[in-house]
Amino acid sequence: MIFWYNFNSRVMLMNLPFIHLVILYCLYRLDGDRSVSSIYHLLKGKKSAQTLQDVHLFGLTPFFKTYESLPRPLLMQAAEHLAQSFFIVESSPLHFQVTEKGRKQAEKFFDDFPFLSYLDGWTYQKADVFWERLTLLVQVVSNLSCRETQYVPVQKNPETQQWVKNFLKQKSFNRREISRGLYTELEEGLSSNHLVDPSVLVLRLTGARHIGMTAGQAAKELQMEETLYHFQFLALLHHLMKTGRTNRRDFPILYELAGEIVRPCSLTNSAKITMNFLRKGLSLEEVARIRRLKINTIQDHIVELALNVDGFDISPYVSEECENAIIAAARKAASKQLKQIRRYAEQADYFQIRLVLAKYGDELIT
Amino acid sequence: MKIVDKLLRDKFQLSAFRPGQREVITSVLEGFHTVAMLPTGTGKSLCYQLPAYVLDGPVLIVSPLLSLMQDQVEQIKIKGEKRVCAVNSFLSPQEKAYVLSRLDRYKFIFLSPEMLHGEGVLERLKKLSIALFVVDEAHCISQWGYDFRPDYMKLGQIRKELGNPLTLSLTATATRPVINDIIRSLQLDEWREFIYSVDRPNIAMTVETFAGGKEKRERLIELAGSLRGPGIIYFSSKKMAEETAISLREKGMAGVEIYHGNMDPESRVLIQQQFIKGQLQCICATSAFGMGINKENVRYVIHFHMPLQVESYLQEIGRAGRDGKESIAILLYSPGDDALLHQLIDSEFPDKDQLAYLARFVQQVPEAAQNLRAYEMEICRAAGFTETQWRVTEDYYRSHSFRTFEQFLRQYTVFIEKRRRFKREKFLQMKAYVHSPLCRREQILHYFGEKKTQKKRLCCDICGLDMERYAGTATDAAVANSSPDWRSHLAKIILGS
Repeated sequence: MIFWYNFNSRVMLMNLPFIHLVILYCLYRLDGDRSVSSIYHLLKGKKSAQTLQDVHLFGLTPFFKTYESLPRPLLMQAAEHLAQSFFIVESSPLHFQVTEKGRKQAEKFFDDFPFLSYLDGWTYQKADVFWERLTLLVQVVSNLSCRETQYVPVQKNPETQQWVKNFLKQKSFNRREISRGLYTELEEGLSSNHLVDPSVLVLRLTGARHIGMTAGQAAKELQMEETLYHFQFLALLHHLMKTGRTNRRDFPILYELAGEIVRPCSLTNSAKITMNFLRKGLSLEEVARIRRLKINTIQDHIVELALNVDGFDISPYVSEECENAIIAAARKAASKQLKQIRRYAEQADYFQIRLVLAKYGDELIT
Repeated sequence: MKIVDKLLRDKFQLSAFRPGQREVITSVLEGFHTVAMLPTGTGKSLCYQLPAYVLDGPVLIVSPLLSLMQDQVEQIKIKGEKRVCAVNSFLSPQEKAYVLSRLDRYKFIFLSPEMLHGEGVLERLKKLSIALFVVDEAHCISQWGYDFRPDYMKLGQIRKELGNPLTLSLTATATRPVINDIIRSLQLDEWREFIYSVDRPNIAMTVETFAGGKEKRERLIELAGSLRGPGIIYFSSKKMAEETAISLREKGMAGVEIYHGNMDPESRVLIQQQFIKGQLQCICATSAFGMGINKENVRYVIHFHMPLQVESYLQEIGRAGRDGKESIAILLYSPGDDALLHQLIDSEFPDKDQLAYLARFVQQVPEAAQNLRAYEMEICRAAGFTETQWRVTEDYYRSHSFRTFEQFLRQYTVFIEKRRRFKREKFLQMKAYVHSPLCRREQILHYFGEKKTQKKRLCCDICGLDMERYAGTATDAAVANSSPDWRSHLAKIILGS
């Protein structure tokens, strides 16, 4: 029998809820460039051009949309608490700089909590949909095999209910097969993980004779701080989604559950419209005029496209010479702060610097 | 075997009618407009669900509470009936259009009253030949009902426009004046009445008064620890519910949970179902808990704060003892509660300042006066309306006509004042229940215009009650013990082994 290390003692030791460590880590990555609000948007998964850029620029993809229910006061509370413990200092209103103590803490964040390597909020943005489908499917299958017909579905979302209905309809299955299959896939999918106690997820499942726990109950049962529980749960969901996506042959059910909901490239609607115009050969200025938007806004869209669209051509906006100068400047500045970079590449404007950073992302600065 | 008994058995998997159900159903099936008051917990919905399978054509159910409606739709679906829909403000415009376009395919059509004002809905309904027009929670029709909905006043008119269909009005809590109001508003000329006693003889009633909040809390902990469960404890504040659940757990009580309206939907379903399936012992809840909770064996209902009117109290204690076995309702009171409860009454309606903010908003955005609802977010933010305040305001606005917005504000201010006075009176009656030296049951019956007919052995604290009867640490509920091994737990869930 394996005893899972649930990391709770690590959180207890630091006397910080796990979410505070997440926020510290994000501040560390943002390096004073952005206000705490940007962390709020990041964790909530806001689809603004700014947030989407930050996610890539600062290597925060694992945390994108990983705490949708985050109340704003909690974020401020966390920042205050972190400041009181000297992990961060407020550099200007709502902007925080990570202290030496904070930096040390943040640098070992992924080592302290290895399960974070499963976390990929960017790729698995719809983990919530995956979870709704999974719990409902488990409940329906369980009731089928127990020949129970009257029960209250644990998920009320009509789309989820319809999805499960369709899923079961398209499979020509018998109930033994489907319940066997679902059990095997979950058992194997969960066993293939070595970083999170599978109970984190299993306790939450509802069957014909047993109602699953809420997140709060499961955290209590496993004696885990609630936000630590939340992130472990999500990491495990991401792991299962990945398992399904990358091994369809062995995990056909997980594949479908995670199926079409994985969308690594997500653009704001407005950026999509801009993209269509650009593809028709219109210039930046022309698009701005036709759409009656500011030049700045269209520039934001272009940066967003550079971040999200593979092979997006930035040469109409930055000459090769300028591009090279910016790359060199970024290396010299060893920072992602636009101002710092501009000091070494005076011929470039901020738009061009952002574009080049978007194109090369983390490769530039190590 | 009669058709109704056959349906009861085959369609609803029940062996016997509860008091009143057969009479009401028979009356409906014989084609009489029917006005029924059945005590809580006796299954009012069967009174229209069963006739639906005898009558030709759809059953239209007007229901005021969205959450109740969703629940009833679900309950019908669970029984395998797919021809059911709900037309309410939860629907997106597309969904609404879709449902309305195929209205003739449904057997049960649930409708929230504000939808009747929408263009098109009534027109669609007129094309159907409605077999039965049901008004659920009919006390909402009456100004004298504690939960008055202005939209409900127009139901009489709408009935006429639908060609005077066979009508069934249902309520669990209505005094005589309210029942008269219902009949008048629905414009029934001939009808049959089935008024059953609100009395639930197997529920004993007691009140305990305390000088201060601290003593009251201590007593609650003691009660929850000693009463035979499962049970429900009601609070007026979410915070108190949470704190109490935590202290009970600290005292070592297992299977205690919290329930309130702000929880996410998944947790709500889970907690409800855990309680129903016997995985929980005790629920510390706000009044949001109980809708559609058909649990037979609730043994006690404690009120840590009293509800604002006798009708609500009756409804909430009515969740105990549906299996007919001995159960107890305990009301705890300390004078300090009054401030909180008065605040609750006041906060139900917007105050003067909030109305001033509303007026200013409409001044700045004159289009809003034509269509308040389109500006819900903005108005709620500008005037700081709570959900209830917004609903009440919008209800009133929608169901009355005005020449100018100023006129609306004037009339609405008068209306609010009247409703507030009325609610305070209701609250005083509830308080009278606490302080009166008379038999509790007699008081409740008197409130609903009934007389106590017989003396009961287990009646109330005034008549003398041995609390020991309701004690017991053993529980009917099997509090789930967690499985240490996730694999066997997973197998148990999915494979049932």
